[in-house]
Amino acid sequence: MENGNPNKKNICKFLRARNPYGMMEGGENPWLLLDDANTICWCITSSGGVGPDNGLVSPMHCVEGRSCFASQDDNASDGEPPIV
Amino acid sequence: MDTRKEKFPYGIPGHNLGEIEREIPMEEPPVWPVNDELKVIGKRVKRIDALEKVTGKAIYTSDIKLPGMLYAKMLRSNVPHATISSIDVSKASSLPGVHAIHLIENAPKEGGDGGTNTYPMVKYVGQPLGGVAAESLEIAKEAVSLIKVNYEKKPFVIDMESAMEINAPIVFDAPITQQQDGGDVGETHDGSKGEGNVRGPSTSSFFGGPRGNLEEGFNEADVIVERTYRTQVHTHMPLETHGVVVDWGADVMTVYASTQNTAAVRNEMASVFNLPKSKVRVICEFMGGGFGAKHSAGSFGPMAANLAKKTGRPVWLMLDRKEEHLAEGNRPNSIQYLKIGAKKDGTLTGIQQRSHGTAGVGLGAGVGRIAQILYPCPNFATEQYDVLTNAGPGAAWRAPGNVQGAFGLEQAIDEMAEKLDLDPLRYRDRIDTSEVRKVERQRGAELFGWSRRQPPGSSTGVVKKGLGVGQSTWPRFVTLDSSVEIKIHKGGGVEIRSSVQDIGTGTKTIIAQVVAEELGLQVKDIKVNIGDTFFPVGPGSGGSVVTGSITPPTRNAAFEAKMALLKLVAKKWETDSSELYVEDGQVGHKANADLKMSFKEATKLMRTSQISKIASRSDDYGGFQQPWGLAYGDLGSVQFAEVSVNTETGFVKVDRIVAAHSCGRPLNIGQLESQINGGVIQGVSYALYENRVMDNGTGHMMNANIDQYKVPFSMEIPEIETIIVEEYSGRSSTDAYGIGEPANIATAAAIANAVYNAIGVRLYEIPITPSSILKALRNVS
Repeated sequence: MENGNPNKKNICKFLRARNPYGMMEGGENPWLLLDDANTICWCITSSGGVGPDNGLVSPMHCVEGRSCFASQDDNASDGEPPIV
Repeated sequence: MDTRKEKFPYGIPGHNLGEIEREIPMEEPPVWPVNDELKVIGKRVKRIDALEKVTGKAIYTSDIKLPGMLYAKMLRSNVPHATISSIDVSKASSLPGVHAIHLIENAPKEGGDGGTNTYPMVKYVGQPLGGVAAESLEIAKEAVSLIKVNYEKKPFVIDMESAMEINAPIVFDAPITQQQDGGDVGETHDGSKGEGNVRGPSTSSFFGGPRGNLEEGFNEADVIVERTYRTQVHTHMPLETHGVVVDWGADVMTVYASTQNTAAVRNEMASVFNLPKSKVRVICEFMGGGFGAKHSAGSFGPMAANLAKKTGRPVWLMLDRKEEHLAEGNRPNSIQYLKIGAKKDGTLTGIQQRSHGTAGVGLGAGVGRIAQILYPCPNFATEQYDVLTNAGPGAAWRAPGNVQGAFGLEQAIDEMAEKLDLDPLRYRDRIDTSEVRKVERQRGAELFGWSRRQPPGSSTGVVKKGLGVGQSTWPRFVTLDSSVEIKIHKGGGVEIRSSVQDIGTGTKTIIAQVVAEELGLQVKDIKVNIGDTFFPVGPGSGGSVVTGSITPPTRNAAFEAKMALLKLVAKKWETDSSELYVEDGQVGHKANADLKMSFKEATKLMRTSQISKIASRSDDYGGFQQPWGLAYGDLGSVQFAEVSVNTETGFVKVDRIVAAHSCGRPLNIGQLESQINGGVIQGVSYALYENRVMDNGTGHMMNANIDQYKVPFSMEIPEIETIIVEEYSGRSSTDAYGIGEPANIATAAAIANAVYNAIGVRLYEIPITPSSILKALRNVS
């Protein structure tokens, strides 16, 4: 994506982001980031805007390297379910 | 070729209606004429679920009762910032009637804010920490009160401007600096790095980034308006609170949810619990309102499911009003700096916008793109900053950003008109290129009696009268993931299925209207079964996307099913199906009036028990502005406000609003008026009443109820008159769009402009209260 924003592949699959025009589930529809000023984000493992590592939830921060990051490529059925 | 050319009505009846040729997919139905020539579309059709709603028979999520069902209550933090050293549930778990307690725990991770602490760090009062399931809600509440949470408190900050100070307590401990962590922190307008609690700036939108050169634009200007506007935090307060009932059966988890997005809740619950989407069913048959914050399963959804899993019983978990205020979303506040330059003839030469807003522990507090696109201007730039505070998270909220942005922009335009010695409405005629708003201004001004408007502050007496106007724009968005199944049953009966939910706007009714129009039946003949994820996927109810997304595939599926039925009749009559039509419940032959058959009789020709067709939203005819569904055109509106201001008490009464709106082809006039009424009332409430009041010393919301969190009583609701302007653009088989968002955008600005016209003193902050009126008048005197 432009402006250095992450693409689908490196956004955590547990991130949800919503703005007036739709919802980004994991990295689906990363075009939502084109309007980040009105994009609300939450993590479905921690159920809120504060991540499982107590850090800020946002498409810019929920990326590889963060301790709670889960890759798009992780097959949910193969792994442990998240702690909720 | 897979396409054909058709001529569509194009433009505004009574203004510039003409035709336009579009190339459309071969399988799509023929063009509908304008509404005057249709039988069901564009008419005042009564809601198909009206009787169930007014008699109390409609079953909402909170009404669900299942055998063996338990009631749950959430445990929430009562401090704004802390780590949790321990949680003692011993007393609660031993309370008779308690079946399960579930605490939210974090997977211990190195490198996070909270180190390896088991429990999440508390960032705001009301943050969910756990839940209890019990035989009754009363027992669950008591059990929650018996849970002891041991906090290690941390410094916190509630007020946005305090949070922006360099030494303010930090909401998120982990330092976030530009680039090093891929962060979004840039250089702020004063040259300092956006560290601490400030994030930003966001400088672009779907409509692009900065344009032109601001400095040159302002150098060209003969007149400058430069102001700062403030808007408050507005919490999410639909009649029905957030909540779910989770029934986790052996094979399928069924979630009854009060949601604006059944599909998103299904997807979320499937991800959280590592289930295939096919094993999660979300149902929302009736919905008690939602203004943007109900697109997720929240914390309550997984909590109810965890409790259901632990107990093996269905769990009811609806939030109370206080929880709704604290934790389930709000419209962020804003401090907006706006500078506008214009030449002597009014031509805009530059618009600069800079805003700060707080969505509590979340992001998304921009004031939108309305200043970017409402009026053409060659030089534009915006900087939108989020300020993190220890308060409940923001959420999408009816026209996110645009409502706040319009409050500033539309006052600034009024001020510019005054400086140019122009009538505010005439000035908008000069600088606004939208044809539909031009018509709305003309028709609205006539109905409203704009010619009565006197110069600002010229009203005499204690109670001063004022007139004002505000405009808005909202994009036309389409969700391509919008599908519908239609079934025509043998022997009669037509059924529609989709997961799209009706959040109270009347989606069920417009779907029935579209099918009735296409099949030549009456609305009562159509059974609409929606709000169930076991049906074809439908769009979420947000961004005013539903009408424009779901009605074209509805019509297309109905058309396909009709053609399948007509082929059977054609075979019997030994003719071609293209020679047949359906009208008033009868199948007929265009060239032979003697050939007639009832729709019901025609269905008896079916060799199978049903005709079933599924259609999905296709691209707009001629494509989109952006391929993912930003359609051409906009949803324009102009609202006029008439107010009375008592200069002794400071009370403002909004006497009347005239709201002129467009939404493409109107489908149901009564329902559109109803949505506009709701949007206007919410706009009045935003302008004059609603305001989250926080205690900066404790971090608690002081008015988390519906007594002190003021919304208008019936006597405070103005007379509302609506004008719905038909606007045809030939972009889909229904050419219809939504109106939920647009109805709410311009109201507060129109009221603020009317208040200024009444008293001659401008208020730059909402809510406009008796106190702020008296203060403003005192400052002048």
